[in-house]
Amino acid sequence: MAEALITLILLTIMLQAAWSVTARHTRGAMQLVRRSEMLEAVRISGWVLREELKVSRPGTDWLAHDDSITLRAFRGLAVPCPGASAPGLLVADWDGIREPDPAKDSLLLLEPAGRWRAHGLSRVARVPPCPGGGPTLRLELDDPEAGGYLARVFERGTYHVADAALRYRRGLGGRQPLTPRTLGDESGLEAAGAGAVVVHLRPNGQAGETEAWAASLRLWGQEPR
Amino acid sequence: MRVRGSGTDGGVRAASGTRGAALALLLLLIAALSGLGTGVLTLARRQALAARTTESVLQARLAAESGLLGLVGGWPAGADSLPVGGQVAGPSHALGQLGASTTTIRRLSSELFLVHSEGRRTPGPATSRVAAAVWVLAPTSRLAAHGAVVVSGAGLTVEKGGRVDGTDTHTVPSGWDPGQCAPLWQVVDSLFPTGEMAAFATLPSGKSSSPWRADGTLRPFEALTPGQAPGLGMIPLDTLANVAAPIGPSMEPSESSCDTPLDVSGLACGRAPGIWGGSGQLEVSGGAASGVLAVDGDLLLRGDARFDGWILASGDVELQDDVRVEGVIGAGRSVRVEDRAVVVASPCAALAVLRSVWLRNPRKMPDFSHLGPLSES
Repeated sequence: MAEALITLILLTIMLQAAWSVTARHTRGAMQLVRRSEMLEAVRISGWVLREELKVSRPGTDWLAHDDSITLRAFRGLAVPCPGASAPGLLVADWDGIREPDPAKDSLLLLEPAGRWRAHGLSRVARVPPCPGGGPTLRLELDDPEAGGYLARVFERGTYHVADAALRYRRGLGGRQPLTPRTLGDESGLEAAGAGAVVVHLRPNGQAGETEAWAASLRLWGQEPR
Repeated sequence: MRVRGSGTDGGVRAASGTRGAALALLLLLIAALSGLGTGVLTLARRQALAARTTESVLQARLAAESGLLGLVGGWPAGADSLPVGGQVAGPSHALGQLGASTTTIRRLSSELFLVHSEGRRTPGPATSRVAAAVWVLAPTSRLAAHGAVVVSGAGLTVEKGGRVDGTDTHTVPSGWDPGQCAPLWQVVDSLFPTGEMAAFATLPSGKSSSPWRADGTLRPFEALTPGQAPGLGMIPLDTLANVAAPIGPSMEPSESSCDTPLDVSGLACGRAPGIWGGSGQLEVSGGAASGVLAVDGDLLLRGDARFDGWILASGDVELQDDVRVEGVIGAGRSVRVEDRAVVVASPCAALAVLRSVWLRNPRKMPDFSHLGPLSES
């Protein structure tokens, strides 16, 4: 009887210990996942915003608001082939991360007077490459008189920190999350003057975790003219 | 006996069962802890991998940036002979363990270039590309964009014996070696085929002009700044005025001007062109100098002052008495030439003085010094 009792007590202690270890293990695993996602969110946010802003001019190409950045998100560079363009038409070597889409893209054209002027795109088609060139596109502009030496294709977009993630909204479309949903209410964007913006990333979770894993990224755009 | 024996058998079975449960639990615990440990290791490995990837890409990016800066800082002389639309490989830079970069130069117009730099980390597959638009002053293009002997935003007044003469574009400034101008006549004739230069033109507003010429070709890249003071393309007047050597009441270039990199060979030492000027109200009443006279304000030349080259002022320019200017004048407001003052067109002087080293340094376009994003190579 005594042996059975001791065995039962030992079994209970072991079960308790096992349960405790399992619970701690579960919490640890969840923390691990959250930590991983938080690091991923910080890395993605920093990289994406840094890449977007460093080729843009603050005040002209992007504006920081309380909770968002509205910007011209550049997607590539079109270099007109010599003698192949005409008023309102560019035949250009294309170098970018995706091809232009008239439905959502516009372009900035460097004009002979030295200004960059925005134009709409009405049609885009692939054409045989210019001599010595790479992928070549025929870009029809909405202004029949437009012409220039360089074109930068962009889409309009907004970056938000909302619903626990950094999100991108192209035009008037929906906000697509770019990061795991790990950000807390204190996360957000803040204009910091002099062409800078600060991105505050605070994870959801207990106070200790929030402080330990929080990050603030200060990002700069190009110097305004 | 049977009872004890039975009891003994039962005790053995119970102890045996307990040991089995403990073993199973222990195995479960070991499995759980192993899983957690594996998770930690996996996370650490993934983060280390991500950090290494970021480091590689950043190193490649730095190598690319370094290549770009090196190219702009050490602009190859051969780039000036590149035809419009042509492309040539620029210098390569090795940064030891940090990586290496290769560059290319593509000419978009007489003064506008697109430069690419590709950086790569060595060893490793990471590469990064950056591009920038670069402007390099071309004296011929500057003179063509200027277009007239006097260009101003608020008119030209010539009175009391003053004169603005653009009837002979082959004028060699007095005191200059004719051999200095001889190589330039072909260029001058291509710019002014009639042998004359318009005496006056209004500072272009740039507001309504089409980017296209009548023959269907794109206008040259002029880099005008509408509504502002005349500069030298992408070099604004206030920049010129800031770096200009001060010029006193009498325009006598200092002895040291003979040793500056602004010298043009073939000219007498005391006549070596420089960048002169300053800000505010500048008044000069004698002496002689050549080069670029840049004033961020108003300029008054009096007495027997003599200047060869470019006069640029954001405000009014007034020439009185026996002043003689051989070259061109650009003013943000009005130009007044009176008494016996003379302005004579001298494309030779205008071209020659722009061949200074400092002015020929390339400049990244102030808007978008980095163009991108670019495709991965």
